[in-house]
Amino acid sequence: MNKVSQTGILLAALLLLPFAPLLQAQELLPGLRVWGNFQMDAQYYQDDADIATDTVPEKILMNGFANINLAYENLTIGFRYESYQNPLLGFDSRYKGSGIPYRFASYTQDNLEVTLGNFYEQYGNGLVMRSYVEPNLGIDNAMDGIKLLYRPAKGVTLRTLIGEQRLFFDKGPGIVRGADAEIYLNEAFEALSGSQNQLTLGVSGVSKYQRDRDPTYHLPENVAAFAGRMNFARQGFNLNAEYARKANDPSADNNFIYRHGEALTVSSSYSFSGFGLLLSAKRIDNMGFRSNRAATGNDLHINYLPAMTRQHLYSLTGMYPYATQPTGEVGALAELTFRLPRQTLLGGPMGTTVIVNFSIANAIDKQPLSNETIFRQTGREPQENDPRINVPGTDGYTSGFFSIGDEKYFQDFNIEISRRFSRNFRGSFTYMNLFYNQNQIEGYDNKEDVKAHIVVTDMTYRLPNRRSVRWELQHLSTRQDNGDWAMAMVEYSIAPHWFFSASNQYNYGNDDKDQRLHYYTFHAGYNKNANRFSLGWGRQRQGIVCVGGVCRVVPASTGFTLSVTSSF
Amino acid sequence: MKLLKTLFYIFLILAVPVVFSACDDMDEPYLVQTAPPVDPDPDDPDNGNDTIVRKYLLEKFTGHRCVGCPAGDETAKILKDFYDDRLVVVSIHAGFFSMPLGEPYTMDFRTPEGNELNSHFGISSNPNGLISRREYEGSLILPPASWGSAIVDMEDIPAEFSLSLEVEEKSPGSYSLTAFINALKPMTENFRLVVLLTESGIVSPQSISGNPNYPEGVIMDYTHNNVLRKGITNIWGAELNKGALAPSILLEKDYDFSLEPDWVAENCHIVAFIMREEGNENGYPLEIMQVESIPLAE
Repeated sequence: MNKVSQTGILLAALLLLPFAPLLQAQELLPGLRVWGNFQMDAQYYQDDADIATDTVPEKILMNGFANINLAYENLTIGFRYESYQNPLLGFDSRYKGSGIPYRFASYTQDNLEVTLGNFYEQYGNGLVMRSYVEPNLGIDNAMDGIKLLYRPAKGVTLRTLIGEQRLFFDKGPGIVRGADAEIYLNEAFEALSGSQNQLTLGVSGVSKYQRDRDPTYHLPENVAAFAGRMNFARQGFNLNAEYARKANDPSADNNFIYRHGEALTVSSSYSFSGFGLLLSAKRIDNMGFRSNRAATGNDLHINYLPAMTRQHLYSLTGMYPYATQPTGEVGALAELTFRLPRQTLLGGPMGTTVIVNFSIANAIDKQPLSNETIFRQTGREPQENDPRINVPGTDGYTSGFFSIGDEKYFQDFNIEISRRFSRNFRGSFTYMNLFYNQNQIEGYDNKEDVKAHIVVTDMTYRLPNRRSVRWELQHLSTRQDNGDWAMAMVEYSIAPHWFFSASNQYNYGNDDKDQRLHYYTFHAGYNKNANRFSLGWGRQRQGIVCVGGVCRVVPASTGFTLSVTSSF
Repeated sequence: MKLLKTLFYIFLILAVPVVFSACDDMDEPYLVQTAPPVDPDPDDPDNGNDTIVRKYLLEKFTGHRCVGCPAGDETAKILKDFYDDRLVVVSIHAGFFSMPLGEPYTMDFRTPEGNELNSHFGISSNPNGLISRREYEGSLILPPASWGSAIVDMEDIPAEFSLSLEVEEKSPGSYSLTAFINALKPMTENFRLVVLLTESGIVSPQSISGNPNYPEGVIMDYTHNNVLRKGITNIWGAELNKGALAPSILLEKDYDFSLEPDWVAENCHIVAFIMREEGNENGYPLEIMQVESIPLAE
């Protein structure tokens, strides 16, 4: 167990020990609140030569964690215990072991909130600062230090932080400092309090420090990023925009170029009864920002760059998820939602909801540097076939803010129609047209762009005695990658406690006949109040799990799974 | 008073983020132009500690279908230009991205020795490397961005061994090698000697991404350098000593080996290194204490 875990356990014990008697005698301390949650996922792995599963010498792998929090008057303390014995396949092996990597104490006094220890934070949309936890991805870049939040006046919020980031059961080498100021004008200025126009302005500054030990580069030890944002709302209309700029930050993310980074996100929505329109656009240019310039993968991100694509929940529509490209991308999303009224020809007896969604992501245009610039910045004369873009130790490239590159990364057009046919019967139909640049998104070198048509039907029928049955039929049609897929799932529920499901994905269109395999799974689960148990068996195909543009590879596996969640 | 308060809050809102940000704006040139001092007489076989420096070994795990590996090769080249003879590079082709997969990736640079190293160290992505098998910032397996810093971290560690090599061609394609090893201080641990053969100048396709000069994502005439070709000893080495090793003892180890017919002798190098057998308070398991490299044919 490393020093962080040992310190965490000791601190948690010291903080909680005085309250130990009180946990069982809350009536002695009225107002004491205790709450928490628990999650455990375990899998027994079986060898399956058909899908070339990894050999798991332990046979059983497990990820688990529990959060426990106490609050009394203006004081809150808590911790999270995590255990990976060993981590499930697809999770970073550096999660191995157990410990208390998250512990904190915070209090509030006269509009000042002080947090000591671990904390999460986000400034605006996260373009310069977002630390968060996503257990399904194995992401946790929690800060360990001090966070202050102060409200000096109505509508004004000031936040600052300083600390190091979590890296598995240890900490990254960099120190992160940040501050954010936000003013909600309608609260801050009495003259605007009754206005229908609601306006919020914010500005953030974040910097990191990491010692320069590199012998070949003059590396900046302090790198700062600034952002300004606004949010305007009036009745059903909302407009949100944020611009961020980062100073020179040569790192493994950008091949050690000294170009500044910048990002712009704009999102607007308009809705009224039965109608909603969402329009978003973004530009990202060299905005990877980590507290260790050598970090890769999902390690030590300081900021968060949104994906701006629809997150699909069905297995085939979610087979090719988009991952944000921090080195540069331009994206847009448009979503139209409308409700066809009930008792009409198109709306049917109980109404129909239609969602039309379109998103696209493209490269930004990058122009090469001149030989003179490269020589001036590196001291080396470039050779004939040497690249003139992203040369280490240079500014990298030039790029006009409104210039879009030629390479398309991702495009998704989908339409979803949901309808309640009767009191007991409802369903939805989804069509998706997909373009997916597999080389760019997944880091391959020889894959074709995937062009696919996907259809999904999802039906639920309510039976007597609180039973219901749900079934899905899905189909993916493509000539690239692994070819066509068909999927069927049926789920039987006995409310409020039981559910049973069986599903099968069949890769019948694979060019390799030996890979035309079935991926079948069977699940049973039991819910009682806040406890949920789920037991499954089956075969899982290799895939990618993404949340908000951040992804994790899931290797193929066969075996039993057990999931337990609980909260109190 | 209200106006003053408003102005104060505006100042606070604008100033607080600036106060909490600090930034170093770098001037050109961005690369360090001056190399560190080089051993004044690297050919001197003198056993005196003041002329013998500890050399570093970069074991670079790579693959011809790894799109990020040309950038890793570039980093290794920059470091090699910077450190010259003090840094020895071995490119180990192993793992998923080194597998031949039909045209144009028909060459197979994998070796049993490289596969074993890849498996032992748990290399799961490319490019990655080891710097003398020492941990840097808690990690043994290092991305290219950390190689330079990891070497700097070692710069103050004095040499504990001297190592020199002599090679002689017995007949066309057959060679005999002698390694001379001398401990520079009394040693009580066990050490092993590993000898490898590498070849440079091999022209063969290499995947690349993000270079508009190669829109197809492959450099057909890429020059692969320092490619591990074979182990002259077992990859875990030959026993050098068992127990105490005094500075007065000069060890000699002899090996015979031959080249494959398609290897170019003029492009080959012998790489030998002394490896600590077990980790302890003095250092890391399998840590490379000294390394030397000579061309096979002058």
